Amino acid sequence: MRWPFRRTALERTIWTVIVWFLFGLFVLGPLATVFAFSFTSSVLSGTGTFTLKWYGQLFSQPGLYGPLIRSFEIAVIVVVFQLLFGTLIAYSTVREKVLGAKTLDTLSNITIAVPSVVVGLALLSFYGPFGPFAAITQFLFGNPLSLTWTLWILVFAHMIETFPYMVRSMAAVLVKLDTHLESAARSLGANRLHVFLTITLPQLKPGLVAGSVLVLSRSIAEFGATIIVVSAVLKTAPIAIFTQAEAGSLELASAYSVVLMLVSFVAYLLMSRWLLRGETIA
Amino acid sequence: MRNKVLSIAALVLAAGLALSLTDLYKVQQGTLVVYTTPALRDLLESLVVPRFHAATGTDVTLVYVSAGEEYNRLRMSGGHPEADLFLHASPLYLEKGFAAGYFLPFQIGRNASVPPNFVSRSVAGGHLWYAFAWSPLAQVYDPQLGATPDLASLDTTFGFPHPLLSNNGIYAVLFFENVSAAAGARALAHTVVQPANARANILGVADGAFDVTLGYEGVTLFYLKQGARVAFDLPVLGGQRFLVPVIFSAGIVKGHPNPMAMDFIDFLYRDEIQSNISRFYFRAVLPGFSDPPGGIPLPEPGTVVLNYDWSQWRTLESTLPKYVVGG
Repeated sequence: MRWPFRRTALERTIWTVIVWFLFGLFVLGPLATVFAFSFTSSVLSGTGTFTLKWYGQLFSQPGLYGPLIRSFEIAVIVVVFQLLFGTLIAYSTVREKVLGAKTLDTLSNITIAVPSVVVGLALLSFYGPFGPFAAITQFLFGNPLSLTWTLWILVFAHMIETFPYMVRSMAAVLVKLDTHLESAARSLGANRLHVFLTITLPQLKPGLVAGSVLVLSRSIAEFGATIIVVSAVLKTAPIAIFTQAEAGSLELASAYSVVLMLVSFVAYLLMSRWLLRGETIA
Repeated sequence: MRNKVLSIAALVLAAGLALSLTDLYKVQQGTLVVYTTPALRDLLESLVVPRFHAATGTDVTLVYVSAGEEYNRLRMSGGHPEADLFLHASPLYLEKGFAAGYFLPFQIGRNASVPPNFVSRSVAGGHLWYAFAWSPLAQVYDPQLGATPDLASLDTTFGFPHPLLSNNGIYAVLFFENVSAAAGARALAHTVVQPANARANILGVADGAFDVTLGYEGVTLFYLKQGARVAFDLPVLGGQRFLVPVIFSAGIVKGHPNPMAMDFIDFLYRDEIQSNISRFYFRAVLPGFSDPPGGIPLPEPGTVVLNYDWSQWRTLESTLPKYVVGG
């Protein structure tokens, strides 16, 4: 694409200053402040000094580091489930294996538009003791089943919130897939499963990796639906950040945030570099 | 090569899934969940929970939101509660919850040692609640006001704690309703903020948001120790001083998932806990233990003692809404 302006040194300088100023004001500045607060002894007093005590507390008290562990455990579960479920949906829609494939493809994006807190409320309503799920299980098994405050309602919330990211990543790869290779393998006598495992799946790798990284990051950061459905013992890191900030401990909330950002960033780098050596994310 | 990488990734993810599910299941099953109040934060986090964990190996998660919110959270649970225990500053929600079928009757090991005003009425199976600590309701005020202002002729700003969210608000309402509804109306007319819990209430006086409130002696002493500039005394109305025991009571949730719930309640009555309660500015319910340093000397001659019949919770509760500002 052609640069729309003459690249004089002055224009370039002005653009650089404006763009970096805006980026700093809206993105880097707030994140850098969180970083700085996490190393400050007391933000509210206005006379804070450099300290590592918030990190010390964070990594020495189970009640504080527990939510970080919970976040990653839940994210791993969600990634695995999404690899199965998201791939299935993407494969079914792109290859038009199901009736209403195009509608399903469109609907798979719907949770991007729905506020996450609404997703949480919807899950609580549906799977709660007064919702349809309890009524159905009561009818079928004679005992109403409720998922309120369980691990599963939390996993479902994260799956709904991350679903479009996996489906879109997989769909992007699937549409570009060379189906002639599969046809050739089938014509040589390979069964469907063998073709999928040895021909299709390896070609899906960029989509699997991109989807997994996006799902992992999104799940770790999920807040809106989580705060509605999460139980006290399964509190995740974003909820802990909210709790600490609400209790006035900005320093501890900042330390949590820095750890969360760093670990997410490292996970992103590792997964993308390790699995996508020499390839680009779809 | 490609298949090898995918196989390794699949194995790593499968291992991660198994480990995550195992750990989360263990956390969910093994943790005792206690719904409680911020007023008890230090007592629970610095004394009770660490010692209980050391004695039993049981992890305890404390959930601090207002009593009203916690009650609603319990209602939302249906027959599958998240919480095992309620530890609160008023038995109102325990009485109300028992009537609605959310709490179980129980009997502690040291039942005979607990004074009668610190135990609920008897029901089949034991009692609805037991108090494990108490603190006098205190009139907390800006020291610049001089002597304790008489609530009958209050002419300065008041912080009426929210009666539907906070147990502190419940005690304030019951005090005025039992002594002088007119004084209650006067206090409400002078209210500028309605704090949602006992700590926010005392902080309101400390930071100058209002001049007078009714709070707990224990929470006031906690903030005095931290340098807050507040004064306190027993509530004074019409020249009379009143002693209202704020009773921190325990209730056990029906269908509670953790089998250690009863052990935790019994643990609260051990000598090692009761003897140390005053270190956290509250008073032990079992006799023979010292009062908190700096606390109001009790018993005090000429003071009127107000104990409420919590079994009449419907009547008590019906008076609460009119003490919501703008409500």
